[in-house]
Amino acid sequence: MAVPILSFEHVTGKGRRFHLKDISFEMMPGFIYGLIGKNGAGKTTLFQYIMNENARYEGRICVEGEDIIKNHAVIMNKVGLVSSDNSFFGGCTCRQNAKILGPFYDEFSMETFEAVMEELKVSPGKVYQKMSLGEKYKFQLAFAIAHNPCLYLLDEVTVGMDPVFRREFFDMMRQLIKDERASVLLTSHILSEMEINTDYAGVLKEGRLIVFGESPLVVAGMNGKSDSRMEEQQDKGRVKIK
Amino acid sequence: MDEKGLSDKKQQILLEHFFTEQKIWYPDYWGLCLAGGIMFVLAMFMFIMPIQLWEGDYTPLLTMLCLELIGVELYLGRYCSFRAEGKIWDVYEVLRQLPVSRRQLKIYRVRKLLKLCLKMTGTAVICQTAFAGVFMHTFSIGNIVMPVVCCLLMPMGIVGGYLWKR
Repeated sequence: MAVPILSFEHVTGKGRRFHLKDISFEMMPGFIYGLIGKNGAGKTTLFQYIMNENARYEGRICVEGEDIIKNHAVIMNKVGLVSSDNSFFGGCTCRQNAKILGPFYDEFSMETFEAVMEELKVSPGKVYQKMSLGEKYKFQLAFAIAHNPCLYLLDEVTVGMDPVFRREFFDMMRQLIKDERASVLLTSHILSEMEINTDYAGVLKEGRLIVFGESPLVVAGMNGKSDSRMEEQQDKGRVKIK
Repeated sequence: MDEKGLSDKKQQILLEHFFTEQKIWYPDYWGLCLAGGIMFVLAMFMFIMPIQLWEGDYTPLLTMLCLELIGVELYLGRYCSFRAEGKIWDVYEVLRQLPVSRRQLKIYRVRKLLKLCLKMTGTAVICQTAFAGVFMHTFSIGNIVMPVVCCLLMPMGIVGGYLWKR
């Protein structure tokens, strides 16, 4: 049986600030997963639990079966993040950023980076701080692809994209996961986008994962169209409702 | 990890490579090196003077000690923060999403400080004992203790503590 790319086992944050509450789900390789939720529901916080080595929580978060808290630095080799929280050297060009930061990854390839940048039609010679939000996300995506991760975390990335590129972007995501070695977790609050482009989706509300299952069913439930159908599907195991 | 279980050799090499590229991403690199360098070179002039010359008046020593600590902090500041887009950024901000741990960055900074302090202490001890021996035909344990305290223990305690906490 395949090992989940990412698993959350009863993850509950510690501290007084906003935190996640009893989050459990698994992401299998070869699929695109989506997280839906209003602003402040905990989507970005969930990403921070994965990315922040000092995140304080109970439970376990594993990437390919390895607990991230035990060897965070090594596991970061397997994770590619695209987010507005991601920091790069603003005064440097994309190529310089890749040259300086890429060597931290075991499998970083400058050739792949240049090739993806070309495919995304962004000049690697552009200064990072002078790029638009969409271009920054494209650069981050190229940087992530260049180190060959198994888990892509994309935080509200489609916001800065034009509709044409948005379609190309999801095609690209499908290409990345087609060999069933990687999977993608993306957050968005655009329901239609989630319904069409993701395989599985979860709904976060006030730090809790209230629904998790096949995207069309979850989105239909969000739209209030099929509550009875959701319950029926829950019995079949296609959706989990808390 | 090495035998002590604290330092990760691979990550230390990666950090070394990262900071050698610093001239590209750090606009204030040369400015900070120069400012820090001038301050602790000035302080070193005092520390290499044999302690016997001071005749019990240690007031200038305090001034020089402050100058040295500021100099060391400025010199090592390039391992802590950088200026970009009109803001001061912590270097860790850029590194936190990468396969490198904060602890390794702290170890790297403190190692840099230790290396610098050992060089300063060595220079001060050699110069103090040589000057005292050659020009004053005398030697005191203070010729070793003073450089060790001022160039090693004080910077490691104060600047080292600050670097470790960041």
